[in-house]
Amino acid sequence: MAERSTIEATLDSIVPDVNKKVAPSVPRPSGQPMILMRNVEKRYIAEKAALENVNVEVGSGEFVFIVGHSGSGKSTFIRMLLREIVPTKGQIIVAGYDLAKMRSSRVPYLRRNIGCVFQDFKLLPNKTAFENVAFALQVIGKSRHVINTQVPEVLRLVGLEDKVNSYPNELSGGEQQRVSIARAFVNRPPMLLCDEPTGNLDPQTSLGIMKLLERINNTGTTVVIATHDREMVNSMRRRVIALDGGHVIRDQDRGVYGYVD
Amino acid sequence: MCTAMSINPGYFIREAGTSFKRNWVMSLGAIITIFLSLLLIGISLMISTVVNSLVTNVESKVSIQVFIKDDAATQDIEVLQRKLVTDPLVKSVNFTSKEQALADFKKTMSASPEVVDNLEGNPLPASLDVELKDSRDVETVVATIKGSDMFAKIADHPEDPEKSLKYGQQIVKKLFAFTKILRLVGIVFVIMLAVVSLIFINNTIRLAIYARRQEIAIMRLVGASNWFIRAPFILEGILQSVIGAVLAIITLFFIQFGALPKLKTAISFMQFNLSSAVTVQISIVLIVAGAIIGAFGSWIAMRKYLRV
Repeated sequence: MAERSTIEATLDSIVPDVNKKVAPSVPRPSGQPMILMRNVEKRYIAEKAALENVNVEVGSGEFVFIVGHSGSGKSTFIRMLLREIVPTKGQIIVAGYDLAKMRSSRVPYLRRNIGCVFQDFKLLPNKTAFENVAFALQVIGKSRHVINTQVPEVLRLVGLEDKVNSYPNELSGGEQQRVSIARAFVNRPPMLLCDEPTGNLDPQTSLGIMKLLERINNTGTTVVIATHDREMVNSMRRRVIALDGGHVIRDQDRGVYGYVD
Repeated sequence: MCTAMSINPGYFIREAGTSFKRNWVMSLGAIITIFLSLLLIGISLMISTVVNSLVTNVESKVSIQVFIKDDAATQDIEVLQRKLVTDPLVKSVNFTSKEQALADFKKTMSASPEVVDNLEGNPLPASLDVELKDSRDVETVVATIKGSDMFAKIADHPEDPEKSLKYGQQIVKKLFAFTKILRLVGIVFVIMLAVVSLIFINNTIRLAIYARRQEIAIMRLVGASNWFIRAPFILEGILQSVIGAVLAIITLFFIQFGALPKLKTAISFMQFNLSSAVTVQISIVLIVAGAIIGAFGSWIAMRKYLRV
């Protein structure tokens, strides 16, 4: 439990920092939604909708699971939030950006407000844990000073302070995912978007990752997780949005996975 | 908001350098292609300069000679001369007497004096040498001369005045047709070479991008601006072309100072000139053309990867 208390201590120490950093540009809990989808529809081919009539509102600071089988529209949902794809119809607002109307050249600035975590970690193999996290700050033009203070801090937060100089192939799957979470969070974005973050990990490690995401959520960060990890969803008892055949079939607080598969 | 622009330029230069090291075989290929293309462009520019100077040389020698019969009255000759001098197309009119013509002939034939010795008396006619401001007007002036009454009166061959006129009209016409074709071929050539270089740069940058697609994907994910992602690759493209251009320029200067003097002595009957100023101008053209090709080639290669 010693590890846990250090994380908590670290978290406490960075919470005010988070608020200070993020406050000017980002709508804080003022009741403004982080994600707002109205009548969203996406068709890759004209005959069949990948998503249809989706109305979802996620408030700032919420913790949400998106569940569904493959082909349910889960990936489309996630990619739409990142504006990798544009909806065919309807309105999407994420972190104050109107995605359907925004110019492509503004997309990078939207992405700075969304930290991304993936099933396959997407770490650069020729960079150490520190360098991988630092890379995210480097490429948005942060100064060396900012990098040298924020990167060790976030690595401590995810519990990797002693693996700072390890390369990804020297780290376990869980550790790699922690690095990738550190990279997503180092810029203190108001929202974290996780696509199957525990898909490659064993249940024990998955639990640790979920706990970490919960801690990040406690700092006021909105966390959206797409998953089909049934046990995880059931044990967390958080808001669950279920997709099937491109429709939202269920949206409940303190929900469960709910599929029989 | 544009924080990416405020980053130190060292980052981009370092990135371009790293990529260059990683793909040096392809980079070398691109450099050599650019080098050879720009070299050929440079040489064709050089040749066109030389040809131009040759043409000017020949053109300046185009003049009209009006041969005058031996018993023409001096007044009549002067009347024709005055008339031609006032023509706005004519630069100057010189009278060459029979004696002068013979002296000139002896001088040109000094290599074979026996020809001169065999001459009986002085068979050469006196002449008016008409020099033109622009050699392209040769036909007009010839028409004017033919139309004048005085010409018919004093012409060496009164029965066929045409024979009393000598001018290099045919040569000029052919020369102009030739230089026109030469210029056209040159332009087509230059365009083709530019396209080849563009494609090669494009391919090299595409490979460099492919080698780093993971990094680019992550950069896009964490919100690096398009310019930030693009800059190192465009810089790399420009770097490759500028190196190629510099190599081409060095080679051109070697040609200018090493090979041209030898060529000049070999074909001394043709006079041409190529000043260093021209080579410097060509060098500037090559550097600029190279940079544009490099930037444009990488730009095209990047486009696909930055479509969000």
